[in-house]
Amino acid sequence: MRVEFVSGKGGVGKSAVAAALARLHARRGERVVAAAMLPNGGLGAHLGLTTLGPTPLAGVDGTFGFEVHRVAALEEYVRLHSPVPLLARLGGAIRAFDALATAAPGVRELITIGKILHDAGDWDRVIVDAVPTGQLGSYLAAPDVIRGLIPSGRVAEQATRLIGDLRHSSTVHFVTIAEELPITETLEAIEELKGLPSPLGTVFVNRTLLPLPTIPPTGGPVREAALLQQSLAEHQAAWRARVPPGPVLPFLFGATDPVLISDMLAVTLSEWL
Amino acid sequence: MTDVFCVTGAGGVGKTTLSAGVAVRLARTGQRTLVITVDPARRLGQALGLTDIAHDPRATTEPNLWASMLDARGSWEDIARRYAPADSAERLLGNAFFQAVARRFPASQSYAAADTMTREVQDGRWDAVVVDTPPSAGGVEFFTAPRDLLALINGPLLRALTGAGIPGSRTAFRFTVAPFLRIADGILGSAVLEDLTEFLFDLRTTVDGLTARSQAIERVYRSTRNLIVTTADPMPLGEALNFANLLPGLTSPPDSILFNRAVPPQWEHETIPPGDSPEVVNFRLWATEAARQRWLRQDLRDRLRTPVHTVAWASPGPAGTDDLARLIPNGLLESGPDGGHPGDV
Repeated sequence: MRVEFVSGKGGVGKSAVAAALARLHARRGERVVAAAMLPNGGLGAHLGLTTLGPTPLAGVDGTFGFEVHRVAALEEYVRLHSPVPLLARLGGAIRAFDALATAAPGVRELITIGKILHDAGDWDRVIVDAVPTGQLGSYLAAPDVIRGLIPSGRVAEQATRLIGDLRHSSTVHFVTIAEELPITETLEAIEELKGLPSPLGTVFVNRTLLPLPTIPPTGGPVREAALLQQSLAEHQAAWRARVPPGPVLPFLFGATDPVLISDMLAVTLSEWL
Repeated sequence: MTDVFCVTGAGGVGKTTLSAGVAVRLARTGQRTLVITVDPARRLGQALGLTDIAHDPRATTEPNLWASMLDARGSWEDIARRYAPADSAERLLGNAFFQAVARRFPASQSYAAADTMTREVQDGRWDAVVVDTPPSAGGVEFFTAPRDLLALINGPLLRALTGAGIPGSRTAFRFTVAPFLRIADGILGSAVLEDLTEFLFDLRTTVDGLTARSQAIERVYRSTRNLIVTTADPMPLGEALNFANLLPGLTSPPDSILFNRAVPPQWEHETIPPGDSPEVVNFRLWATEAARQRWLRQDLRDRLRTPVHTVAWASPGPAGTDDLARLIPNGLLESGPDGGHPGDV
C-alpha cells in the first residue's frame, strides 16, 4: 500500500488533482481509493459521485471514494481501544469525547490519520484529498504530540506505530499555482515537512498558462489576448522556478464539469508520471 | 459615524489588494481611512509605502490613509492577556494544551481582526474603516468568530468534566461518573484529564470579558457594508454563495461582489479570424473563458441579488497607491444593497 497526501493552499485545485491522480492509477489497473480528510469538499464531484460517505463508493474509471467522518471514526477508534466493555450505542458519550478531542491536542488529528492508514491495507494506493497546507502539519505531527503528552499506554503505542507507517508508506504532494501567495505557502510547507515523518512527494503546478510561440503584430483582441497570456505566462514562469520541478498542469479554459476537469488533468499527468 | 467596509472571500482571490484599493479610493474622497489587514504579502506593504508590520495604525504614503497590520500568531496570547486574570494568563501561556488549541483554532485570527475593527470604530477618529478579513473556511468565519470562540471556551467539554456548577474546587470533577469519562480515563490516563481540566478552568476565566466584548463586536457587524471578492474558480465562488446563506441576522446583506481576474467580457462576442494559427486557436480559448465567466457572474447576481463588478485580470502586482486605486471599478463604493449601481455583468 501507498498513501499519498495531496495538500496545498485553499482553492488551488487540490481535490481536482487528487481525483486525477486516482483516475490515472486506476486506469493503469491499480485498486485505488480517494479519501477526503474533511467532509463536504469537491472530491466526490471530480470522481463522478454526488456525495461521499464514510465507506468507499465506486466512482469513474474504477476508482473508489470516501470521506473521513470525524464522529464515526472516533467511535470506531474508541471501540477499538477502550479498556472497558462498551454499550451497543455510544451516542452521548461519543459526542462528549468528540468535545474532548477538540481541546486535547492531537487526538482528533491522530484519529483521522489513524483511520486513513488503518484502512489503507485494503488498497494498492490511497490518494488523500488532504487539509490545506496550514493545517497539514498538525495532522502529521499529531502522533508525536500525543507521545509527548501521553508517554505510555495503548495510545502511545499506537502513535509510535503510526509514525513508522507515515515514514515508510506515505508521501506528501503539494498542489500550487504559480503566484506569490500559493508559492510562498508551498515553500513554507516544504520546509515544515522536513520535521515531520512523511517525505515530500511531487509539487504539481496547476492552472498554468504557457507562452505563445509568437505575438501577432496586429489584430485587435487576438493580439490583446496573446499579450495578456504572454505577460501572465512570464509572471507564472518566474514563480514556478522557485519550487521543485514537477508536473505542469494547464489552465483549463472554459471548463466547468468536474468530471471532465479531472479527466483532462489525468491525461496531462499520464505524460509526467 | 464611521463607515465600516468588510471585504470577505476565499484565500488567494486578491482580497488584501482590493481592500487596499478600496481604502485608497475612500481616502481620496477626503475621508480619514484605516485599513486593517492580517499578514499581508510584502509587496502590498511596499505598495502602501510601509516598511514594517505594526499592530497600531501607521500612516501610509497616501494622505488620509492609515494601515494596521495584524500578526496572526499573536492573537491567542492577546486573548489570554486581555481577558484572563494575570495568574491564569501566565498559566495558560505556559500550558501545552493552550499552545495546541491556539494552533488549531484559526477563528482566533478572525476574532483578532474583529476586535481591532471594533476598537477602532469605538475610537471615533475614522470616517471609514476597511477590514481585509482573514481567510477562513466558508467565508463567513469573520462574522461568527466571537460566538465560535465562546462556544469553544464555554462549551460542552467543560460541563462534562466539571459538572454543571462551574465555580468551586478545581479538583471536583467526577470522572468515575460519566461513562465517557471512564472511557477517556482508560484511553488517555487520568493525569492528562487533570491537566486538561486545569487548562479549561483557566481558559474559563476569560468568558465574562469575551462575552461583553463579543456583544460590542456584534453590534458593529450589524451595520457593516460587505464586499465579497471572488474569482472564476470553484472554491471562491462557493464561498461567495455561502455568504448570503449563512449570514442573515448577523450582518447586512452583501453590498457588492468584486469578480477578480476577469477576462474582457467583449472577447466572447468578437468575430474570430479564420485559420488555426496558434494565436487564433489561443483566442478561441480565451473567448470560451469569457463566456464561462459571464455565465458565472450572471448566476452570482441572480442568486445573491447583488451587483457584480469586474476587476480585469492583469499580471503585475500593484506598484503603488495609484495602481491600487485603479483596480477599483467606478461606482463600486456608491452602490448599495438597495440597488444604486447595477454592476457590470
